This record gives sequence, structure tokens and C-alpha cells, in this order.
Amino acid sequence: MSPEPKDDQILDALGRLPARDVDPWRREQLRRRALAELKRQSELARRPWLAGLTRAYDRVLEPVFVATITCAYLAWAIQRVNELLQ
Amino acid sequence: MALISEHQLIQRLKRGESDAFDAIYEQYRPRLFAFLARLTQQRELAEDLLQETWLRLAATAPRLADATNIGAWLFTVARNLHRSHVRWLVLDLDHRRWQRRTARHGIENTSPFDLTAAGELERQLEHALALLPIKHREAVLLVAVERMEPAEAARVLGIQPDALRQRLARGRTAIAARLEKTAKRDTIGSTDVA
Repeated sequence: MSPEPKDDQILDALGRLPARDVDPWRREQLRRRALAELKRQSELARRPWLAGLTRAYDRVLEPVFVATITCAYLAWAIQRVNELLQ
Repeated sequence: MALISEHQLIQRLKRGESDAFDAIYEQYRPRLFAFLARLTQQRELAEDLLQETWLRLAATAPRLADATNIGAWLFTVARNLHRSHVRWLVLDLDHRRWQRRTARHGIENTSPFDLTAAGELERQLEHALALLPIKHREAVLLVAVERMEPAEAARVLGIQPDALRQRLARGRTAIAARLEKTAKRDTIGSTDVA
């Protein structure tokens, strides 16, 4: 159906398109952020209990905390509106 | 990168060694950025997705399998991030307005590389790539531009090799038609001048 890339002039020309890069400042910024994350993950991997705690916080405690605050605020807001309307 | 050295790099990356990360970052960053920029057609978005790809690698590093093909892994993550972004765009009213406007006025996509492309052929190829539908464009980018093995590219895209061949053939045909159209237009233009 399709020619192999090596036998095809168009695909061959596409293969010669240059790979351009992000500017040096952004390149270094991305590198530092990723290295910081790598360091954090390596420390977590060395201390499994801390990794478990972090995972529990990220997946359970934080969502529950946010949901509780949101629900409490909504309940308060609805109650206030009801009071104003009565 | 030889298989053994890639294996060693992954071992060191799993231990959190920054020079292993740097080696992978230097090797794949320009290729990933070019892939994402040609896929998204937006430099800023490509940079954001590039950052997310490297953060995913850093976050997953300790749990990577020893036999991971790091290039294929990175391209898979980058492509999936772009796919998620495209899904969210359906809900983006500004983007939908922009799409309607470009469709109405017949404005064609211009690749971020169009303006900086060195030669005429390069510029035409970048432009033709930018006009391809995304699923054809990603197949052409992986196999033709990145020189990835078709079987590996099919795995990155999560499709069967036959489907990849079909997408590649359609993409290639569309690029050829575009180049031919441009060549004809140029010929007519030069005849008119003469």
C-alpha cells in the first residue's frame, strides 16, 4: 500500500527536516523543574512510608478536605440566600 | 543510543541520578519539541506539553521497567498529552470560534516553523504537514520525520501496523498533492511574468 520510507523521495525529504529546539532559557527552566521532581520522587522511593503518606494525602486527604470546605461554603451560601429571601 | 547504554541510563535514572536525566533530556528534547510543535502548530502549547512530558518522566522514573524503550515512552506520553488537550478543546469556546472563523475565511494553518524554514522545499513541507489531519500528521511525523520503525510508531499511536500504513499512505499522498499544486502555481506564476 505505502512505499517504504527509504524508497520514497517525499518521506525522505521529511526525514531531513531539522529538529528545532526551545530557547536556552526555557530549556534550562524545564530541566530544573524536571530535576526537582526527579529528586523528590527518588527521595520518596527511598522512604516507602513517606511515599505512602504522600499518596494518601494526594489521593484521599486533600480531595476530602477540598470537598468538605466546598460543601460547607455552599451550605452556608444557600442558607444565607434563604435567610435573605424570607 | 546503543541498547546497553540506554539500559544503563534507565538504571541510573531510576536511582535519581541527574546526569542520566540530562543525557536523555539532551538527546530527546529537540526531537520531542519538533514533534509537538508540528503536531500542535502552536509554539507555546508545544512548550507546555514538552514540560509536562519531562515532568511525567521524572515522576515515573523510579518505577520505570528496566527494558523501557525511553524514546518510544517519551513520544507516547507526548502524543497522549496532545490527544487529551485536543479533547478538552471541544469545550473551549474561543478555540471553536477561531476554527469557525478560519473555516469561513479560508485561512490556512501556518506551521510555527514556516517562517524560519531555511529552504523553499522545507517551507513547503512544513506547510503541507500543517494542513494534514492530526491522525495522519502524527503517523507521518513518527515514521518519516522521526524515522521510527513502523511497528514501534504503531505502538506509540496505539493502533495496528496496518492502520499506521494506511494513515502514512494518506498523509504522504496529501503532502505530494500539496507540493504538486504549489509547483503548478509557481510554474503558472513564472509563465505570467515571462
